[in-house]
Amino acid sequence: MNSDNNLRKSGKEQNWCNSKSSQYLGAKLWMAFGFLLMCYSSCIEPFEAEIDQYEDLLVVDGRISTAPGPYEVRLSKASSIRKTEFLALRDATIEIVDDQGNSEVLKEVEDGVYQTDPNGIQGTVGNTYQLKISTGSANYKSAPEKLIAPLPIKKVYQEVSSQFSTEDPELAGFQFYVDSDMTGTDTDYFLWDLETTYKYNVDFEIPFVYSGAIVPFSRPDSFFTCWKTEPIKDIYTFDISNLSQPVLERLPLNFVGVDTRQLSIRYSLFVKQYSVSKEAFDFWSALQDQNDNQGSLYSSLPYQIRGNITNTSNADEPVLGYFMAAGVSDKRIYVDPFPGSFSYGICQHADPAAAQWDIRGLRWSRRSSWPIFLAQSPNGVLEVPLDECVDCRSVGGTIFKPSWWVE
Amino acid sequence: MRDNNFLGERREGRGESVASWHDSKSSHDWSGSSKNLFEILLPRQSVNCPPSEGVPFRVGEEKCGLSDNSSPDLTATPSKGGQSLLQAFCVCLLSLFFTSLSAQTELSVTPAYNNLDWTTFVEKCETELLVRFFFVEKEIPSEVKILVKEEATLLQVLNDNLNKKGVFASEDGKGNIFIQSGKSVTTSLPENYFKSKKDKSKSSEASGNDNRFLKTKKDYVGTTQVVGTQQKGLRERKSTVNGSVKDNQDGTSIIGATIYIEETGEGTASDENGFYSLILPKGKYTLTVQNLNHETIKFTLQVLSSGTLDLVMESQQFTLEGVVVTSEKNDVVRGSQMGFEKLSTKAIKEIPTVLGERDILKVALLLPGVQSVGEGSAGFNVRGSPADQNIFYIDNIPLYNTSHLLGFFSTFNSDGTQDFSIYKSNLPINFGGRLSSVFDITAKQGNKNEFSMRGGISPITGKLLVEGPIAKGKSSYMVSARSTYSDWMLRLVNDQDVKNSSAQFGDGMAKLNFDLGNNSQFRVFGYYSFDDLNFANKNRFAYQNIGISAGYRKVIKKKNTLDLDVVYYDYISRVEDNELEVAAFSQDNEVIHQEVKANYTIRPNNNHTIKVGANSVLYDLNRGDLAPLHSESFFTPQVLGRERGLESGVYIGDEWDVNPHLLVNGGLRYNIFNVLGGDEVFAYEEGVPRTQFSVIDTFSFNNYQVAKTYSGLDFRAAAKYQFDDRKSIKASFNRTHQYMFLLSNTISLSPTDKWKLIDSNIEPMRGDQLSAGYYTKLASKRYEASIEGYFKQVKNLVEYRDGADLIVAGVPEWEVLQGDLNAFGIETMLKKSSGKLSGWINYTFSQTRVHVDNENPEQRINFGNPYPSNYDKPHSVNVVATYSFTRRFSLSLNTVYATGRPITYPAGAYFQGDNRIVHYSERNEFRIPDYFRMDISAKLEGNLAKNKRIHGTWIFSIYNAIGRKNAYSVYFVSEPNRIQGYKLSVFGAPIISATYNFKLGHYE
Repeated sequence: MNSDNNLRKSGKEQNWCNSKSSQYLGAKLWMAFGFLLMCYSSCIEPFEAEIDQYEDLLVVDGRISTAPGPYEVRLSKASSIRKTEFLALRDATIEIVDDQGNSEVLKEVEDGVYQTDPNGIQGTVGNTYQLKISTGSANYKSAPEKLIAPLPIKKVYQEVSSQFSTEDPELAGFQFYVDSDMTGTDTDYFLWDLETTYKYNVDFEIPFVYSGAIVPFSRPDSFFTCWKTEPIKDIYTFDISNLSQPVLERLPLNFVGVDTRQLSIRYSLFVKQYSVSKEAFDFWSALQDQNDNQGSLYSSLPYQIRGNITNTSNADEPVLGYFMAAGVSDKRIYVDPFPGSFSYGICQHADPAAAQWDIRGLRWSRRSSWPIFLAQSPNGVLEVPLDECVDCRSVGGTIFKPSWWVE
Repeated sequence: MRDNNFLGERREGRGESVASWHDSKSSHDWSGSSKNLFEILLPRQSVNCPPSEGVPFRVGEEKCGLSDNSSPDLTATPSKGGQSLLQAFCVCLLSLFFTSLSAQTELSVTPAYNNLDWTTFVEKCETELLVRFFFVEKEIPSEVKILVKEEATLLQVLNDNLNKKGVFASEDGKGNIFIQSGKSVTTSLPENYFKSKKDKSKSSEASGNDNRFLKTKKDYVGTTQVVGTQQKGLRERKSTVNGSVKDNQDGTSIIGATIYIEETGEGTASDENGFYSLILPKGKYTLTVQNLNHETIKFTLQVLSSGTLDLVMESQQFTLEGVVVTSEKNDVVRGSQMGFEKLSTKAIKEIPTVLGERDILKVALLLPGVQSVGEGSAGFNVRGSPADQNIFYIDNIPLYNTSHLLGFFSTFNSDGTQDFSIYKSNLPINFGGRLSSVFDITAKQGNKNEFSMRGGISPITGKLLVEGPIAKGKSSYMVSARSTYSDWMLRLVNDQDVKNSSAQFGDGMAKLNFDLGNNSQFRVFGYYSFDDLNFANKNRFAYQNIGISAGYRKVIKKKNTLDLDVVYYDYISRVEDNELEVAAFSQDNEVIHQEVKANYTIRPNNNHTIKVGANSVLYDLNRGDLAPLHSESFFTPQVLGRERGLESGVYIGDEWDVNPHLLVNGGLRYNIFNVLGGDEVFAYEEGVPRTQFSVIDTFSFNNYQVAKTYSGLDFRAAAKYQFDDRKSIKASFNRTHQYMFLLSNTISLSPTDKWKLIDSNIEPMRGDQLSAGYYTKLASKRYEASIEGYFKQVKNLVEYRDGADLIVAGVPEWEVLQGDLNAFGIETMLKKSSGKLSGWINYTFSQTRVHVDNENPEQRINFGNPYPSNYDKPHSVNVVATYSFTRRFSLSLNTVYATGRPITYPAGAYFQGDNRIVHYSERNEFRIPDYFRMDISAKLEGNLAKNKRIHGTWIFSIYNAIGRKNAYSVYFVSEPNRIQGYKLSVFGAPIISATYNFKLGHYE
């Protein structure tokens, strides 16, 4: 099974279902009727647009927060849409300054990645921060941003739910929510960053390996269980300015379906809540809107979303990205297996005859691919399985339990 | 005479009404031969209607005793002179309207009729019993008194009293009473009657006294119709012939019928009251009268002096030649209006539509110059204008939202609509307030003579219409309703959210018409529609159109018309959002449109039609009441306030026939828009974007206090030059102003869009359009071809800041930017409206560019560069064809091609954290794939028997028959490992449907 692929699907389904703008109403109703009109599964299909051109623009991505440093700023150039890549911008001079006279020049630790010293500048509530960049040919600065005090997250929780999707009409899973009490807040604007970690097993143990000859494997369960940590590549924002009480309940976060192994053993969601300025909120919610809201009849025209960075000598030069100062708090929750059936793909034992052929073929395997893990069916037939059936690392996990993991 | 054809037609059982009105001279001529009364003996089917087919007109001067209300329309007033004139001649065909009812019941007279003299008796009978007497005056002894001792049948009474004088009465069972000396009249004809009369007929034509029409297979060939008298003509150099044009079925006035004089190449069209007027030297002319859905009539007119000639046109029935599909005022060459399309509900029957729901507005999209963003979307883009620059009137009620189910269907139930006209340029001067177009829809007028009912059922709706007289011949009602039951489809979808959703919509209308006598009419029309769409109890959108209009019309001196109208309209919409319980809210909006208008149309002579008038609209908008949806919500209630404005206009316009070839049309309209108080008004610093930070002052105004006044002068100028009856050129230039717009920054109209008046900070829009065209008829006039080009410019077009959120926009001027729109296009059309194969092909080339620039980069859109509008589709081809195999079976085909609409493509990608972000740049720089669709439908009529109770029609249609997955949009989504493009198609497969429609009575 390919968990990446599954993740992508659920990420997309997010677009139809987790929405708070009333623009979605039309979109969804309209979609529903679209489905009725006999294109249930074919209303939306992938489309390859012939776009090769791209604009060579400076991209800034960085933040300073109340969390302890080091803080990271990444400089790059925009890339082509067909092959999105991080085109690092090296050898720039980047400096973070605050209104108290503190400043620090960042060190390039990787191509295009610049960091403060762990013992250097620390984000302090109430201070105003600004980023200054010199690329050699031009100078840039960010609009000063005041660091707003963080608020604790009240609760992160999940509910059994199902999702409206084009692939599976009713995909079951957990829908995660966040509750927060914003009483005493200095801002109306919040955003959330999510990171997920889950423990999962592969289907077969490894009783034997092939390294020129078939030998028993000392610890057959070595690669049976893994933990995988990955960021949720989505943006969650909320504006409480329309609420009479600064209490946020049931803000929908991510949805995890039973079509992946994420909920099969134990799942953990780590939520970071940022208290941000209106400008930062506008930037992020515009990105969110633009990404989630395209393609319906009632979407607005996409447009160039400008961040808070400008060229000091040419204000018209478009610069992408944002340098944010924000108060941050976090919360981690663990979730036990989903109380229902799963629909992810499971490895099957091969046909004995085919398995025999595969085993015979091992002698022609290249040395570089050794050791080759072998599985054994319940009736003792040896077989050469796919990696993802026996080696949990092959789908991006690690066999080392994270230090903070609580069983 | 050629009456054998005539008779032959009739005997086929067509059930046409045939009767004749005789001018005095001809009556005199054949009075000697009593048998000639055959003319009036022919059976009629629709007995209450004015004579049709056989004699499509009446000669007013010579009308005999036609009372005012003999015609359902107020226009048929015989002159007093005519009445006295007829006394001089010996034959008088006194008549009165009678009804089918009276024809079927036994006619009896009571002693109340006792001892009356002949004339009084006849009048009384005709008035009270609704019968018609036919007699030769000199044959009735002058001293006769009719004695009625006890109640008896009319025939009995007549024969009792008259037989002894040698005079006999007979009756044809349809209310016609024939009095004749010698013997009683036979009410049927000898088989070979017409043949034997042939020669005589010819001679009478030569003498100009025959007024009958003959119908040949192809066309009507009329005989001579005489207007005026030689005596009167001695004093005139030029004579005026005027009168009305009416429908034979329900007596309604026919608007826009063209009357063409072959000899002079001159012509005219009946106006909005169905009147026409011609000025001619005395002499003989060949006239052709044509109109959409009516049989063309052709006859010789002999003008002796000024006089009246009322024309009656027969509704097009099941012609052998095929179904008429026509999109324009029936004569593109001779009509004075350009950029004009007219469709009748009847004519669109065959055209295939989505789910078989006959929809007059969706058919409009098949006409040149009318586009929408995509299928299933609401809103029309006419000649490059945004959707809010059109106005839709149904019997004077403006509808601010014309879509059901988010735009899949229109709110006009086609059964209840008579026809509709689209003005794409040079809007008539009495219309103001919109830059692009007027869709003027006429609701069906109830049948004044008999009760009728029709209805239909399609996969998603059911509908019913009833109509009939209130007072027979004088007033009528029409009530229609339509409702959906489409939720069953939602239940079929295997998704909980969809199952928990519902979509309700419906509409209804009612129309009452009263003939007040004295040449005046009164009309009340009510309209209601609603939509209530609920998605999984998370989102709900509901709206209603409620409107009522009342109109009074008086015709003065038979040629001038006074119209007074009042309109009250209320558009209520509500959005509910329950996605997040703590922030669940509802928003209520409202637009109230209250209007009074007066129009006076004057025809001082044949060459001028002058319109003067005024109107005033009071707008009262609730910009939004936002409230928590339920007790769990912490949403802060917000009241965005009410907004009011008064739009007033006075106008004068003239259409002037300079000579037979040249016609000019001009008008001026002065508009005043008062922004009325009730809300706070901000004043802003000059030269910087309007935001909360640039407010320098705040004014508040009392309710209805004038906060600001805008004024503007609209003008219209148009000319037509007609080379002959086959070719003409036309040109027009006009300017209009618009004082309201739709707050909408979505690609197509969204159900959440709200109307907004211009205010102290947002200026009125102004539009100019220049257009010119060439119009011709080809191949014995079987084809009409036209080419029309236009340039359009809109100033102060309202656009929106990038990323503007208009749903909860408290202060719209912070989101609004104003710019220019420039559009041009060439529309070509080839049309065939008769024959077994009918339909049209059109090709349009057009371009629309929007330009919003400013010194401030924040106030630019697309970096200050022009960009194509969302609906800019340079090439567009529509083919609509219907082939009628028989009267009962026809096949139709639509083919639609259009360039893909513009779209903004990504100009790159970048990272923020782990998120891939799509970067967009130039607006609408690319295009989605081209659009192509074919639809097929088959229509099967029930049998064509004349006397049946119900006529049914089946329509089977396949929409998008080739199943092409046309792109509605192409968009890009950032997914965890890449940026993926997607294509969205609305109809990805053929959509098959069957619809059944029925009507009480026979086929029409």
